[in-house]
Amino acid sequence: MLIDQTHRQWLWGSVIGLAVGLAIYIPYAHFTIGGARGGTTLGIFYGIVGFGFMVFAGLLSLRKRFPVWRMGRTSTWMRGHLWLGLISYPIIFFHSGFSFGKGRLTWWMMFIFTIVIISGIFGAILQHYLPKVMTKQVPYETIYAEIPVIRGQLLDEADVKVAEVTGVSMSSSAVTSAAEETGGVIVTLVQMEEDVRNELTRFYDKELRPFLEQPGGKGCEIADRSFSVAKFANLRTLLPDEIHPVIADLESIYEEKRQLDQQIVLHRLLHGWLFIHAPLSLALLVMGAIHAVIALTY
Amino acid sequence: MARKRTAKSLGQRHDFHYFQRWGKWRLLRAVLMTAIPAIAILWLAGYAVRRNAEPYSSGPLSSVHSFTGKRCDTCHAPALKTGFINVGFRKHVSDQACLSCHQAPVHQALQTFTPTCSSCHTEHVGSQHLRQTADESCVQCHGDLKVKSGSPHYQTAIYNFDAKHPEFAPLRGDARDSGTIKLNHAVHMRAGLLGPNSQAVQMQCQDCHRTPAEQNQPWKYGQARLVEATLHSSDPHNPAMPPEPQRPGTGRAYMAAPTYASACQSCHALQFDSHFEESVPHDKPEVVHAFIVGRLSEYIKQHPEAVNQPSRPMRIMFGGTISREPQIVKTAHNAEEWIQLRTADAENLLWHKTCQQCHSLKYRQADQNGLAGLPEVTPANIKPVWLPNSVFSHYAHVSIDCKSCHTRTLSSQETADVLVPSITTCQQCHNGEPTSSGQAQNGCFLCHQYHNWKQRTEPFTPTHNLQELRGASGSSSQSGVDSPLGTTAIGFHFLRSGSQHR
Repeated sequence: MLIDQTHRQWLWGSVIGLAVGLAIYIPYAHFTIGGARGGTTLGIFYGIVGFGFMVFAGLLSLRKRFPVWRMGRTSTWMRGHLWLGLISYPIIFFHSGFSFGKGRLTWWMMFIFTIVIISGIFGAILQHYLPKVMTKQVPYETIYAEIPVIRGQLLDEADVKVAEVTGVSMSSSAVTSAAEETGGVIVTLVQMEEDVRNELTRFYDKELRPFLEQPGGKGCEIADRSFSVAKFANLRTLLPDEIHPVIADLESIYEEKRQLDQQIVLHRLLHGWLFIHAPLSLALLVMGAIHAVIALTY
Repeated sequence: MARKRTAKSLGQRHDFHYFQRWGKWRLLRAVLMTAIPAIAILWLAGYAVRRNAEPYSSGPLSSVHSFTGKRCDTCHAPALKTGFINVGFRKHVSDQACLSCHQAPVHQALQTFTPTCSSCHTEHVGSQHLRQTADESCVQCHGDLKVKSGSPHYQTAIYNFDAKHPEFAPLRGDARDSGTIKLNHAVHMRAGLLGPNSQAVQMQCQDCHRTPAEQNQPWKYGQARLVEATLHSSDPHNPAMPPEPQRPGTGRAYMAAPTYASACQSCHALQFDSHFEESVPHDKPEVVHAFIVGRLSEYIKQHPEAVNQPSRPMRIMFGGTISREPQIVKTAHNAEEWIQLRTADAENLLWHKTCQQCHSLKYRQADQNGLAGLPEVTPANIKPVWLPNSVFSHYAHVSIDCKSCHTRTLSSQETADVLVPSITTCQQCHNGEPTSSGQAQNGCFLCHQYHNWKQRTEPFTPTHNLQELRGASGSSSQSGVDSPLGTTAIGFHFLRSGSQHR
């Protein structure tokens, strides 16, 4: 989520809320016998407020699951998640009297809470900057879950393109089906010399196709953008002009595949932190609820 | 044909049910979202199965309560009960729970507010002593002291040792030492003081002032005297008790009142007659009189020729002979008269010089026993404890030279001088929290006790048994002891055991 002017109200609301909490906390901690701690009336109040913010932040995932619910816009929930979740951390410290938790459960809760907050801040920073990077570097961005499907389609498309000019069938299902339709005969659209055909076939078979097949293109020299530019320029020099449109298509397919690989990297960066943040948040809420019941009991 | 990317072509290549498929990442996320909270729950469930509430503890117990650390219900008992079943959600530690193991006499009969035990004695903060109560616990009343009736006897606004704590009571106003022993500290601490056998000595404070525990040690200017209660008994029904175990500070908190036998007699001998080297006992005048008459009677029996010798009361003092001039020489005609004359001379010496050097004597009329003229010794009235509303340990301050705190000692010439150190002396060190470098703790609890232990009632009736506290099954239900927590031991055990015992 882009942290922009639309967050101003949330920012000031959080700052003011935190300032009020601090203004109450200082005399409370100074004058309370035994110091500030969770079991005092104000300590319990801070605990309820902090845990309430944490619960609200946790409800974001529920809100996302039911997008049609008329319970405010998801973006508003997101801002609330971001800012209330953030200030819940100091409020919980007000609750505990700035103790990291003397009991085993409370210590683990504070430890998990710290990881949740750090991962959340890290995620917010990533989500602020990475979408811009994504827009710039991955104009061919597609639905992340569909990338394997698209990659397969690109491979089929490239196979057909190459087969059209070389008459050499690759092991693509699309070309095989095309050959079956024509009785096993591949009809080429372009007449070319044998060595030219061999060069194109060799490039496609040994370099481009493995790259298109493999997610990420690890180990493929052509995965390097500058290398691929030189390679395609070299092909255009070697091959006749009639082949150049096919080479342009192959380069376009290559570029789309390269961008999909880039999208995967950025997507994993953009959402990978959630694998830490979300489960630990849920665990924290569960432990927090248990802590609340037990603490109020004893 | 050149490759084209139109919106339609791009749209057609997507599977619009992709969100219904479970991809690798989605699956991983679901597993993590389930597994991590489940691990947290299972972790707590593991403790619950073992009936161990340790993870929920708000902090480590103090060392004295750690033995029952896994039995939270020992202290955390619900306040309500139905029959013998405990009910109620909240299980805060009640005063009743504390009083089931501890005695806690009231503070003051006139106090307007009684805090709960746990509000002052904060538990679950580790090995800190529970008696280390926060100053705020005291200040909540003593910051603006009010009493049920009348006016307070103490300062009404005290915040801590450094703020508005009054000067120690013996030093307020023109308070005087009510002791009657005439002692000039300045003379006794003077260098080159004439000591036993006319040897020059430099006295030290501990030559006279010692704690009860140290009084068995040899005395430089007196004879060692056992002051502890005798532990031996010949009564078979009341056999001797072993002594209390000795700890480093046992019997070393306060200074015992110096006694003549332990501190004075080497220099201040009580000789009464030149015929005898021994001194009279340091006792009541009646005893001294009887001693003198007895000794003189024995002497004249053995030396009848002494009757004709003139009476010259002599007093051997520090190796020299001092004659009492002017004197009237009297001669006795028989033994009885000789005894009377010598007794009168001896008592004249004692009552008017030797005893009076330290004691105040009052003379009384003859009583029915015929003890006319015998003086009455004013009680010494030595105060062993000057600050009765506080506790102090000389042992804790043993490394500090006495005179550096009792600063007025070297210049004190009068018994009436109060030599208790001023509060400013204490504040030089006791001026902060213990964690601060160079500052000794100055919490109220260091010197003051909240509970008035004189009100303690003995003997104390225990309400728990070992099995109950340690959690052995079945034992509590056998005891059936009424608990001050408002339940029987049966109910207590039932609460802990839960539904499996139903």
